Amino acid sequence: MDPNFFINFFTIEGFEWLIQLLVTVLIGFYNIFAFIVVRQVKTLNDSLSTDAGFLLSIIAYINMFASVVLLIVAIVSL
Amino acid sequence: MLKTLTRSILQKPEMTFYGEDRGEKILYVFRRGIITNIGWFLTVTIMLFAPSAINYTFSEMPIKFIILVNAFWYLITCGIFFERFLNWFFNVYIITNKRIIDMDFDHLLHKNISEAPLRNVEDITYEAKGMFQTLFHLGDIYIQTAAEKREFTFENVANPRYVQDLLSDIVAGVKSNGS
Repeated sequence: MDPNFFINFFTIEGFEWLIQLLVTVLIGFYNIFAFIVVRQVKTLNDSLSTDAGFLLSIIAYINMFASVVLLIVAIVSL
Repeated sequence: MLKTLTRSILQKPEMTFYGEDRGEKILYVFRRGIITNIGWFLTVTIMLFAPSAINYTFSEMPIKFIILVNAFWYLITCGIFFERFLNWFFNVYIITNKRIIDMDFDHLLHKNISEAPLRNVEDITYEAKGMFQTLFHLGDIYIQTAAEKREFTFENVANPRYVQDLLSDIVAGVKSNGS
């Protein structure tokens, strides 16, 4: 490990890096939320089947896909 | 499909539900009045305009990061919109030719389904209270039953007087047929 690793936290660059890390963690939590939404839409569609069920499933999957892409971009740009 | 997605009272809709018996038909599906969504809808609308504040706060950060935060913010906004919509959409009260089903979906991790045969319904009353319900013609409908679940409450239903009358007629019809 770089001996200046902790010292770098107290610089502007270090602070920016911390903010970026925090945002990445938040996006990670959002991914969990998006996954739960997909599961829940499936369960709810099983409980009550409507003609809008397919559309709701697609929206849930798009939301999850977008959150995964965003997480990857956030990790790469760290 | 638009009707299914937006109406709070659906007559003989193209729907099926888990546990539907052979010969059972959905007569009505009720939801909370669409105006009850105004609170979260306004919140989401405000959230759509928030990125200008985010851009100002993070103005010293790299542009790549600002774009990422903006994208994340809009994703959260869409996620909240979708989750709240699902909450309204799947919170339904189903009246079939045999029973009443109350599907409660409070949030993503809580779901409760209860039902009672129509012949066990004893009393149906409605109540409209407060400024919001009076202004937007909403009300709560209380259904007393002799089933395991003693009372069903249909909250913030649009046009409650009409719904109460409708339910009373359906129950009376079922009881007079003896089925």
